[in-house]
Amino acid sequence: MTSASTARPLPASVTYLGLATVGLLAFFGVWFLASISGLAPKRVLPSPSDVAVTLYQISVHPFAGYTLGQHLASSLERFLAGFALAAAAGIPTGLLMGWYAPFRYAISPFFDSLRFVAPLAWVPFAALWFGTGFGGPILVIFSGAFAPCVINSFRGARLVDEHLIEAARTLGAGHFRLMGQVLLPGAMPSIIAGLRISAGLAWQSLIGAELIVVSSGVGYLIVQGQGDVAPAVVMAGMTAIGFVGIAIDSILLMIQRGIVRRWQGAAQ
Amino acid sequence: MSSIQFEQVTRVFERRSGSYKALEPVSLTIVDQEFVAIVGPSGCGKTTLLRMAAGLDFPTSGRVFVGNKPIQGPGPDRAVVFQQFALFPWKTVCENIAFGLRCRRVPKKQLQQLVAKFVRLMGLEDHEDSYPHQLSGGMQQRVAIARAYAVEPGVLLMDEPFGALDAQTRAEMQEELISIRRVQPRTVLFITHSVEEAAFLSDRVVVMTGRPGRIREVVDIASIRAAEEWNHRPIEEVMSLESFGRIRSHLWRLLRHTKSVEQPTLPDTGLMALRAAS
Repeated sequence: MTSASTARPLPASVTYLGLATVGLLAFFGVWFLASISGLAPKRVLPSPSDVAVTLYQISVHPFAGYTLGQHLASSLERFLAGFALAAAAGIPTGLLMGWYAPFRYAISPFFDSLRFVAPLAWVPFAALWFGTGFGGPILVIFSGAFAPCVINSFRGARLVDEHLIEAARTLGAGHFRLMGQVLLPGAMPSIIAGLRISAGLAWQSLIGAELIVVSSGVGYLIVQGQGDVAPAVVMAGMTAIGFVGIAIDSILLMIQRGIVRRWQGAAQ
Repeated sequence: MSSIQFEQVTRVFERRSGSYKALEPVSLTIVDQEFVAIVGPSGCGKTTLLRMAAGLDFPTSGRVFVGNKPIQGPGPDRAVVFQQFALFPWKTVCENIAFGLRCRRVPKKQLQQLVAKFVRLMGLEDHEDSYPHQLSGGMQQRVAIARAYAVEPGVLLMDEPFGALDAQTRAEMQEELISIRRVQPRTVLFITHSVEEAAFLSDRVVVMTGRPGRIREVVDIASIRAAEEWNHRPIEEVMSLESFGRIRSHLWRLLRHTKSVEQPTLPDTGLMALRAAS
């Protein structure tokens, strides 16, 4: 009893890393065993080593017209454009909804029903209105990323300390300055949290759009892999999507931590 | 001329449970450069009066004037200091102080001079680039006071500005406020719970009672204050003066005896009889 209660617990980060490693090893172990034992035939499930080799090959030699790096670059370009557009439109919309009640009431029914329409449902119109090159996929990404931007900016604006708004008003701030210098920074922690959700949805929607409409990008690479009955290529594409997703989220997480640190005074 | 005038001001708040009368008709005039404190229990409407003068709230009936002009909303002639400091956490001390000046598009050079002046006056020289959360409560309220002074308003509205500070810091800030007033005289409306604070700082103390809020009495201490030179003496000395003690007990008495004397409750039987009759 005594020894158990006085035993010093491992630091959280060590425990976390350890468990993550165990989980990954178990996952790859089962996968590897399944493929070498013949339980899962190669044309159904490629082995981890096949995927690794394929990842290397498509990074060096073009597949479906481009190398993996080029596919990723063209996906990322679309992602950034759609994501930036969603943030640029969504953040002011959300702040305005938080600040000005008539606007909120006017836009809510429209917005609330629209956000249940899955991004992929926009694909036909996206292709019809903006074509299959750059504009179409961007509308699909936009439709995935817009709602979380709006909702979190709105919540953030509502949570800004009322005294800060009153202080700014008594000091002579107009509507424009209030939005830009009080509501926006005040809502920033919530906005960044929303951007992380948005980025995830945008990245997912993009791959979905690429499966259908375009002729480059990681989604297109996967479709071509499917056409060539090359499951290792499909899985290599999926792996790349996962890693890039983690990278995007890590960057936003870093920004989020920086902001929360600087904003700490707000909560105290 | 920066006078504040409340003319037969009432305020009724509409709640879901019904309407709630926060203020009976209140009339009060604060003359130019006068320091008036309002004391009273929570819910006596003292903060409502201040918010009306600030243009953040409006009377249900009656009128409020500042400098003989009716109040339409917040204005550059009035600055507010809040109990919660209300500093922008993402702005440095200097940027907080400069906020009101930027709203007014004060030219850069003049802005820097004004900020520097009030940084010096409030003793914030070593903290210009700090963020609010890096400062103690007392220092944060110094920044808020500097920010209010920097826009050079005729009227300062202070809503329990020292209520969140510990006793020692509070006493220091009270002395500090008096010494700033010597160099930067303003018309001040000061809200507080503390009888001692009101007596130590003010020319006149307005005692209010609650539910609904009304003025019980206005106690004039300007002449004693001038005769005994309170503004030039440390707080502990003033507080041990006989005259201060008398004023303090008088204020306490006003606060404590109002409810039972002025609002006798009807005996149950009488109330029942009235109900039966109607």
